[in-house]
Amino acid sequence: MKYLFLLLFVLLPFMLFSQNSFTITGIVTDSFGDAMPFANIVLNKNSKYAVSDKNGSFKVQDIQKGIYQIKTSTIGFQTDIRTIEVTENINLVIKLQEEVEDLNDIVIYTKSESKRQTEKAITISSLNMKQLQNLALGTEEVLKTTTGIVVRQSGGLGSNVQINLNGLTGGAVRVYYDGIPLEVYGGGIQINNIPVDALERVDIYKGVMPIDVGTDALGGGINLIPLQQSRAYLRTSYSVGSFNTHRVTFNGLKNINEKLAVSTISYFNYSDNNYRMRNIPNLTETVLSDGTIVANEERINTRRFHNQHISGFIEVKLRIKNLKWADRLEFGSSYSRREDEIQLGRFIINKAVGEAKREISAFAQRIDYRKTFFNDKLKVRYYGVLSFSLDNISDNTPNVYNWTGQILTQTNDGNSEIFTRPTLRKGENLGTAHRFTLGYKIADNVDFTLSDFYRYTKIEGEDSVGNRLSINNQIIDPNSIPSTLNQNIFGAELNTNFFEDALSAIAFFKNYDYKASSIDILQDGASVLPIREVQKNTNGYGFALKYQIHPSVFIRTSFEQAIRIPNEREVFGDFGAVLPNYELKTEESFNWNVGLQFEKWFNNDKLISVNINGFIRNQENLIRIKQVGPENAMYINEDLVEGKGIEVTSKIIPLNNLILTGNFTYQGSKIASNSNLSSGGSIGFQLPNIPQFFYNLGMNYKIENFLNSKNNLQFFWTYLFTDQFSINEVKNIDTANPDFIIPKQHVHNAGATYVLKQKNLAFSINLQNIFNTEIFDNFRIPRPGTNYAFKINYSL
Amino acid sequence: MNSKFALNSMLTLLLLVSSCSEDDPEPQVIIDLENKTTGFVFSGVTSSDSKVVKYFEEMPSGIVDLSDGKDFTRFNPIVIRDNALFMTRTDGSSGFAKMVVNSEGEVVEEGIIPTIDPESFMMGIKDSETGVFQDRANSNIISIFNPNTLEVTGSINMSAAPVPGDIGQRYEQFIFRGNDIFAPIRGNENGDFFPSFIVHQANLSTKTFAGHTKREGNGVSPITVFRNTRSNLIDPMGDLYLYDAGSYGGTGVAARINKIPAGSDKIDPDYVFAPATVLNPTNIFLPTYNLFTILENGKAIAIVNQTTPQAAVDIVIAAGGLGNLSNENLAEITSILFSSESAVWCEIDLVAKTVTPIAGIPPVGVFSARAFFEHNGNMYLPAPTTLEKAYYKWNPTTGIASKAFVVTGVDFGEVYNIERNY
Repeated sequence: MKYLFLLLFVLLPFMLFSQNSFTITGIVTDSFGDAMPFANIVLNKNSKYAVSDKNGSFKVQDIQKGIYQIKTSTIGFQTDIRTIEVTENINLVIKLQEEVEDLNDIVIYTKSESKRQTEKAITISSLNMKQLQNLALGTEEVLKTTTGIVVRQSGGLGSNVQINLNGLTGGAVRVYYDGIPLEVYGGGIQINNIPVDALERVDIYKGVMPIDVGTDALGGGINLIPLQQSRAYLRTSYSVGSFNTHRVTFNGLKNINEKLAVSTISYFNYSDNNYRMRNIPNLTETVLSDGTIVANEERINTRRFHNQHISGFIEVKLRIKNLKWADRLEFGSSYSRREDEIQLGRFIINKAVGEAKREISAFAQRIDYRKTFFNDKLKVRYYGVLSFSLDNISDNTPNVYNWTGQILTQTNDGNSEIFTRPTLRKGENLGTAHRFTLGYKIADNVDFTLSDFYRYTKIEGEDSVGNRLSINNQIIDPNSIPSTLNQNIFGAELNTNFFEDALSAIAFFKNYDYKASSIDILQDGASVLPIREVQKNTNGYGFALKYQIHPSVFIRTSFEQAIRIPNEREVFGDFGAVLPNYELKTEESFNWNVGLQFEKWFNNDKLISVNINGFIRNQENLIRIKQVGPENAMYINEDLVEGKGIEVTSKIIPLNNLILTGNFTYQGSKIASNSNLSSGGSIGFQLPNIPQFFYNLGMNYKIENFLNSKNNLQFFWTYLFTDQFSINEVKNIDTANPDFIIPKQHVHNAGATYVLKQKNLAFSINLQNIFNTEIFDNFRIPRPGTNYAFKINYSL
Repeated sequence: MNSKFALNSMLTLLLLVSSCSEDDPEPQVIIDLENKTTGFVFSGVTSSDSKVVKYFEEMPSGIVDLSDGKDFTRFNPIVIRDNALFMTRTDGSSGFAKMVVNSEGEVVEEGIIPTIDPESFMMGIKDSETGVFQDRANSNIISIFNPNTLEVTGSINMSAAPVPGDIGQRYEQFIFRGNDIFAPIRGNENGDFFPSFIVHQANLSTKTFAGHTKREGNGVSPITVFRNTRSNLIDPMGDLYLYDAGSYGGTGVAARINKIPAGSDKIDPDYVFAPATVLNPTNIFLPTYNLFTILENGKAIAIVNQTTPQAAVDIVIAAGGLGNLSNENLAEITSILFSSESAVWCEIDLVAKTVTPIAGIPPVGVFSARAFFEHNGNMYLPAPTTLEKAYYKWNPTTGIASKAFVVTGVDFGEVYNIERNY
């Protein structure tokens, strides 16, 4: 702490130095007079700028006497440029006119809510999805261009996605939809099927999560924010691409009157995902003279089959605003459905999956209430979700398929392709989650926030071919006995600003309470129904500091003792080979971030922006599965894993229409101690299957007024590099077994967009992996070669 | 003409200069490209259960660091034959692999036998020309193959062999006596079980199912069968001794050594020998043994569980006695027993039915070790404890045991002497 004070002392002169003469204040509105939050107000001299608040108000201080050009802009509106002479304090009303959405590239930093998030004391990377909505990409593709994130898939559109964030993966990284864990919505919407059109932005929390978003995320989280426009719009798009991929979106909002608005977000995805894979093992058969069937293996190039993905989502929302008792009240009803043919298990083997599939249908109701009291000093928000979903899994066939789609003569006695035993499980899941947030402005520079998140989940179903238990001499299907989960996470946060907002400090506390119950699968033969309950309560805390050294430079640091509560499978087992462990402790991680950002505009049209972030993640009681006895496994607390890394995000605008970006990540996660291995086992070994060094470079060039004075043509190119890594746990990658190394990967993507503003149309073409290089995903699963997508957007 | 002469002269000079160059290669060294036929392959386990493997030409001593070994996703040898290690495929895919140590001392794959089911674990090899394996996808079939060429040459249909209840037929071992194959089957799967120890028999000459034999338990409790590969189970008299793990957890069904006398193909019901009960008659929770093998002198060795850990006793006392134990209590006890160092390496007299702890080796968990090996007349016995992961050298003639080496760098695995067929 003494170093912090020392730092403040050293930096004090910089703060005192920033005294000036005049102030420009004002309000930004749309053509209807509605306040425009997050508009950027930039002066052409002295790097002065401001961002309008939620009421549209802004203030630019310390302005010397003189003549200035003031430029006001925000997404979806025409830029307002005006010249003013400053001889005294000035108050302005700036009214912006709507315009057809313009196209842009994958840019994290914009003067928007995304920008505001990115510059918080807590380390957040925020993607402004509205700038990407014309692109023919999925959300998971966009995430791949962010520092610190590795997105792994088992196939194409809709396939399983695994997110690795700053070296942590699996349950350590939570994904939220509007601040509520994605799984609460029933499984119909997932990060692998949401088109970019359906999202306002994506906030990526690097290890430290604020109380009003986070739950029990150990390594951070990804919050998908759905479209949140307040002005009327209609937008639809259709894209067609390789592998018979079709995506349709339809989004819109209509203001019925000043208080009432109706909106919808909807999308539909279809893909055969039949992309070609190279040099994969394929099973064939020959028959000997005595009738013996002999299995052989060959290497082939072939297309995937039985890999179809269909998904759809529609949500209708009714928004009421400016009531006496509510600033905003929103009701939403949604239906989602997805059907996935399953092509393979965890990695490629010599046979394919030809019949197993999964179908999920989910209904969800949402309510969002917001109100401020006492001249905006007290802010209240309640957000609730209630969902019901049907989750059917089918894996029950003796047929064996090879990679050419051929059914082999030999059958599988196990009658299953994916699981260890056949299943025809029909699950019925009820989920509800509620978040109540109360914020109070104690003083101009002190905010206090309380947040409570409660979640309840009930899972039950039936499996006509699944495992059975004998209870009180009656045979029961354990799936028919509900498993329940109750989770409550309470948080308190103090947010303070000093030295005219140059120094921001946040401190927070979280309490995690968890209670789950499930049938005890080990109690076969019991006389009464064996329900087992587990309850845990633990605390976490954290802080964040940010100091604006200079208008162009800030430094920040944040820390959280993060907690992850074990999930149901880890505690209760899987009703099969995985035994329950009711004593499993929560995982803990001490997450520390230190960062610096430099960003400077030159002549309002040239920019250099560099953000450097270092992080440390020390995980304790890491939960992992361990062999127990000769036949079973159990989740146990074991290793201490030390992770650290550095990320560099950079953006340069050297010319008015040219944007260059570069995002670099170097990270490592090593076993630091291993309580179960007295031989010092694996200490210093790198966690397997996680890339250590990866980066991407991007270029975007816009030709304005192309062919027509209102049309823009934009080209973009992205290069993604991933250094080699091993899918095994190894001490030194340079001496690791090359058979298990995923080689260096170079991927070039390119595309173009053309916007016809007067016709409200936009066209986009994307080429992925344009040099058709061999690239891999999770556990060396081949990814598609060169593929394309063409998209047409229409908006009003 | 002059130009040709000049050219020839220059070429000749070049050849002469080249031949006198300091870079002139040394006299050719004949590189031995044959695979290694002797030596030791050590394997260790990482915290994520992948394997690290390292070859030693000579027997190491002291501390053996495996952290710089070659990594594999899995490395679980089932049989050693003609200096090759036969195992499930090292990348986790379906089938079996034949691994050898090449002339550079590197463990490499020489060939594979694909299967349909990736969980097909069992293989046995009779001699250099004949081996068998089971693909669990077709559990009624025993496939015959040539270990030298890895060519599948035929099959035996075992669909006539009895498997009680709704249990998948999984062979836990293939033991050869002449052309007869004896194959114990696993008695439990996915919560279902049958309360007996059943051995199927097939004949390699006729390629037919030849019958079965079984040991009955108490009619209620399962008799567990675990893999005990790379063991010699036939004594100098031709008697075959088969291992079962019993039914641990206070059921009273102790693990037995089951004898099929020479000339017979049936388990001798009069030969009743439960080593753990002999070692300690009060050992009722885990009366089992592991890593059983018969030595050249006709005696056998095994890790035999000796005591009941106090933590398990406490659970019994808290429950109010054995009769009050819930299934949950039993599961907790089983977990304690598996991790407890309550077993000892023992010498077993199969005729006198005696069990004698081997002095000088610390107690271990009964299922904590996976393989022993033999070298120069000594048995090398694994003794992994919470303090260290060591192998002990034990001489069956002198009865003296001493620490041979300690494995570090990764968790304890196995050691294989590629010179010996197992």
